[in-house]
Amino acid sequence: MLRSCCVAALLAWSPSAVAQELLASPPLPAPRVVAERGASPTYYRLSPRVMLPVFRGGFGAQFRSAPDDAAASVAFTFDVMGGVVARFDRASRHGLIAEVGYTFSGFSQHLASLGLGAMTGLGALADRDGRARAAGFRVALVTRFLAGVSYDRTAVGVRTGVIVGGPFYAVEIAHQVLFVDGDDHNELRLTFTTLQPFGEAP
Amino acid sequence: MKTRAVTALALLALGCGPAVTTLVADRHYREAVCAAHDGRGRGLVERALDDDANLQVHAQVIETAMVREALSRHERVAPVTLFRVSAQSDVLPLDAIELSAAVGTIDGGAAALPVRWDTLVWATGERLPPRRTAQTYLTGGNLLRAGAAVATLGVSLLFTDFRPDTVSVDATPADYARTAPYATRLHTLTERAGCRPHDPGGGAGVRCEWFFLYASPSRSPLTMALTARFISNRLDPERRDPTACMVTRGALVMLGRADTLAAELDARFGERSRPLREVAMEGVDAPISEWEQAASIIMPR
Repeated sequence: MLRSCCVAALLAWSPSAVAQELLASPPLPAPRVVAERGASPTYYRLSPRVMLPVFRGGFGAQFRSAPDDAAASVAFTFDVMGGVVARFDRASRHGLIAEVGYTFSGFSQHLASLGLGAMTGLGALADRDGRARAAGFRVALVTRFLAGVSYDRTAVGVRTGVIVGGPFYAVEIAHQVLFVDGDDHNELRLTFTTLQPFGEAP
Repeated sequence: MKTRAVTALALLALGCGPAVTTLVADRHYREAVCAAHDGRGRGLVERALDDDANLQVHAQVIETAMVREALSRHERVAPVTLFRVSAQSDVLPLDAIELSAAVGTIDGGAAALPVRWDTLVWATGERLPPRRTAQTYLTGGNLLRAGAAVATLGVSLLFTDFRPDTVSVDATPADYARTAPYATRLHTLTERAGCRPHDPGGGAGVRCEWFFLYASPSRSPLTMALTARFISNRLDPERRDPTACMVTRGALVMLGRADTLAAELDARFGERSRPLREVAMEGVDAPISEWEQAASIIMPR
């Protein structure tokens, strides 16, 4: 009787309090805490993006060595490249680069290229301690196999270049040798370019 | 120790992550969930999470006098039942655990409605209070006027003034209590529905309560689909909302026929919760999309 009176009085005073009183908490046990054994490693939580597409262009000057009957000369050149950078693993600053492209130079030179190389200095979303890590100074060494037209004839050759700089401003210095009708021709290139794979933290 | 470190370094250099079996054995679930998310050792990680999460469930019909009175005011093809489902996980070394529940008949023909204002007034046969109108100065036009005032150093205020606009706002609690008193009392009774994390302590665990309303002449037994999402954030310190890895586990639990639900739940659960693995049905998929369709027919949103 007394309890009923108390409940009625409480209902008049605060329906919310009575409702909570009447509906007990569900009978769930105290939760158990599962702890890690040792420090957590860091690998799978790093970005899984190890294959990063790369598209880049460059422009600059191409130098020809002096043949016997002509003076050394220089011409404008540009190239466009597309390919992929493959990190060695999820947080690695190092990786391989493969790209195909097209090069024009003012010597009426049109060359297709297939390049393979290695690069270092890639950025990552985080390092193995979970801290932010920006991309830094980067270096790439790329060897390209060339085929096209040069010296008004069909030409094949090899270009080896070193790319040095940051993600959006880099310089490539390259040497290329072209084989035309059994003769080899050596040329140098100095171009301004970029080296920024898509999906990489800049 | 040195050999182990050298092996780990060699594996990392080769681009192979730590073995998922080792991650699971040492309870490194943040790593293990991302490994499973990326397709490595998914079955192993799922089984380990099932074991260590130790999901507990409980269900009961709410049959207080107030609930009976509120739900019996309206003639329906079948009596309305209010019941509560509770679930809990243990605390695991993860960034979050999310639980969700849906209830319906096993054949997908009928669904229980989660308790909301619109479903409560449907159950009590009342009406929602109309929305109120209010005036606000936070309008697009006033923002432009403020910008113009700043840009003209106040000169524009000589030619314009700030005007309020009428907006529609939700009714006040007093409106709800006056228009739908029974639904208001049920709402008060069930307002603690939802999920609350356990005291963190470096891990994630959650306790949830859901309230459902059910009224259908279907004689198919009611089942509950419980879904657990185990979440680990990618290491991405510069993003406020980092991308997450997730492993999702689902189970179907038989609750009972609507007309004998209270007795069946009392027999199955009584005063104690049960581990999910003890009450989960094997090899049955929850017809959740059918339930959503059935619920939308009863209560179009």
